[in-house]
Amino acid sequence: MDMWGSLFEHGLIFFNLLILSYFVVGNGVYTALMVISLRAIWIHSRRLAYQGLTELRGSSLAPPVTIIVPAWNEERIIVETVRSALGVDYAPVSVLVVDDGSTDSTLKRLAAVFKLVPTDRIYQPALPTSPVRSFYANPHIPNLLVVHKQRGGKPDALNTGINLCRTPYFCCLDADCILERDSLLRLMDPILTSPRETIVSGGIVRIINGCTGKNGQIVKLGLPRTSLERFQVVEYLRSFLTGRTGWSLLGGTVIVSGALALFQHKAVMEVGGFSADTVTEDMDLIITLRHWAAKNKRDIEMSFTSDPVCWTECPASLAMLSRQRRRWQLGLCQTLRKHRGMLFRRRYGMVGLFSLPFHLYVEGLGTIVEFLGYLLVPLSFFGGLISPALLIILVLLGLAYGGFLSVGAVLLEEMTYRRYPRPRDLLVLLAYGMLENIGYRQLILFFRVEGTLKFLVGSHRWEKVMHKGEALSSGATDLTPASAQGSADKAG
Amino acid sequence: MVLPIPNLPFLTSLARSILATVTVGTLALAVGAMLRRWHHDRFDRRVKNLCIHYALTPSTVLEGKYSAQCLARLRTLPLSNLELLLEPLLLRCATAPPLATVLEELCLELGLIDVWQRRILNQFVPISFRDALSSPDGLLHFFPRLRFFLRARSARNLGLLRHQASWPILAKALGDPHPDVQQVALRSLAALREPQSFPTLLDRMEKAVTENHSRLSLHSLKAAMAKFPLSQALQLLPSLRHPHPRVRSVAMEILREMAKREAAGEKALFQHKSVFDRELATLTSDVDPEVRALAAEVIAHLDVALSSSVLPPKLQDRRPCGHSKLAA
Repeated sequence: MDMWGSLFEHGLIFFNLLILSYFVVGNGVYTALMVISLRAIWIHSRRLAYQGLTELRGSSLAPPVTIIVPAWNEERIIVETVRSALGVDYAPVSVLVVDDGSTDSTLKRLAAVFKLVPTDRIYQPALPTSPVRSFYANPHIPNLLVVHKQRGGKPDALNTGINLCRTPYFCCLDADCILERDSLLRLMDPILTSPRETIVSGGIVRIINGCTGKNGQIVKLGLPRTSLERFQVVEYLRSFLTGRTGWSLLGGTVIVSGALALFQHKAVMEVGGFSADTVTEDMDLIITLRHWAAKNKRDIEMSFTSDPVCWTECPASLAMLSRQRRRWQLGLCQTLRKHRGMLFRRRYGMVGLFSLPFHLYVEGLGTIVEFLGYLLVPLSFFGGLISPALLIILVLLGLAYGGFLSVGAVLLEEMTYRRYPRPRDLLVLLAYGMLENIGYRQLILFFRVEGTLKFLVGSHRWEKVMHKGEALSSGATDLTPASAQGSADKAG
Repeated sequence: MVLPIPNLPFLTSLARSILATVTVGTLALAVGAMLRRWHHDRFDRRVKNLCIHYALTPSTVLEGKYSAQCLARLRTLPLSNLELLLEPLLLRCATAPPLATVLEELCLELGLIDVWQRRILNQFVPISFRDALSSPDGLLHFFPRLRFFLRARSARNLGLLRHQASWPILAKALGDPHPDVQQVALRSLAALREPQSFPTLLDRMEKAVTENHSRLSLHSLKAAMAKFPLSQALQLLPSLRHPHPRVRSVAMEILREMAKREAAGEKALFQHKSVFDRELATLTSDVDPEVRALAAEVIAHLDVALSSSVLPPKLQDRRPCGHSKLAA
């Protein structure tokens, strides 16, 4: 009995040390990323004063871009998404909507609003995809093409778009996102001004809940009404302004949100387009491109800037939130397993030596460690391994550190873009930043553990998050022929 | 293996210290965010008040309504305040060229052009700490490594005002240690379109292609050079004959953009057509298909005498790139 008791005690000590290491590594790296991001974002926000977007806007040498919008059952918001894509402030742009076999009226809505008629196009799939059924276009909107295809999943829809893309760059835009007018200009800027070959340029995703939109543009900014959505606003700020900016500056970018990302067509074709091996095809593609660049000794750059913005609707219910987070966690685990050969390999630079191991330890395995921590730390307390004072301090420290990082992200937002103009909004964000770790974090952790378990049992199911489309439906008006013509003229 | 049992008192004390630091840090960040908001709002109000007080709006400036008295009052303002005041007007110059002409005069009178030119050359006028605090960029004066922001903004301002006499300084700024300053200087030179600066840009372009360690992107150089008028095309001739196919291709691309703009504007026809007749005929048979295709496009835009004799046989071009562009 003594032996078992001793073994249990040592097990608990070992696990407590593991939790401690997770806490130190995770928070240490996130703090370092926050400091790095603070500097990077401060410099970038100063640079905006002389960025030269006006010159790029009028440049005849600006490379053409195709915006690919994969859509499946997005009848509520698809019209606004396409409207925002057609309205971007970048002359040589064309919009390609790939309807991935929707069973709702996505296609009908598009056809009715944009007055689309069936058209003939030659489709030669360089990347294998599900069969394409039909094409729709409007001669008065020459830069819009809608493709109706058999259901094959999001990567398949994106690959169909890539096959049809005839421009050197393409931009992926989720069908539930609203693009800001100058987003594409801002995404292109690092590609055109960098002397290095930039094959990916990513932007920031912000939450549309609480804002008011009209004709594919946000006209009034505001915070959402429910706590669940507000926590997500803070979470997105932390993730994009702190995490991704920091990793980008260190050259360790492994995630560029597929909701808004610009890719070099040639490079993506060379790696075989998006893969259906994982449910997070965007992360998978970025790591595949990293692998391809290292293998072919290509000196490439992947840029992330925090000023190109697309607005998306975050889940407003627990059920939808759980679906989304399970899918993200499942995708993370699948991608890390797929690219395990890159882990701890010098050949892949910062990504192989630091970024991927960090994602594996803190974002992947860390989920289980943190979850078990909530069970085993109290057990250690009852086992007499931890004093009541230390238990209380550790719990408070966990909560306070999370709050520190979230409040830091709010400060970053305030120092740079100040998207939420009312002083009250700032106070609300700060309060939610401090409270995020009490309840919400544990809830998200639970969904992530579910996602990890799904991965362990070999599930590969894509869980669709349904959106209400409330933010834009209120002010939406149908695209009149005149305004459609205006968009087409602008797009050249 | 026996795991070490953690030293509990030490851990407790360490965790307590970290907790205290983190709590103070969180509060400091929150206060920082609120102070930042307050400071920004105050700054916005100040700029607005200054503009109202000195009646400096685009319309009043355009109408020349700023009086000698106003000018005298403006002269009493510290440099940082003057820059704050003029910043919104300067940014409008890009879309309102008449405003640039009036503002250029105003900035010359106030000595700002001289200050900006000196800044680009890294000669900074010392400012007091109080003045520095009154503007968001003021403190940058005290950090030499961050002065590149001020140099870049100065280069931008000269470009926005299209201050022709500043071109040698801007050309010099192409060699600035910071890439941002180089980039902005390049754009300003493109805005000025001073013919004498063209050879410098040409040299940079060739180096960017052949030496591969330029801090300016090839696209930026192309875009800047393409803004020059077609009369500069003669200076492109050495690049069109360059042994490096990429240099020829980039030069052709610049020429095409110049020709396209000229053709679209229906301006006076290109004066050097005869010089280019022979050159373009040679380039339509270049070993590089991209150069052949671009040459064909330029011929089409310029409507040179050769267009009817040179282009039709090129429809048989073996490479689709040249072929398709010719067909178009």
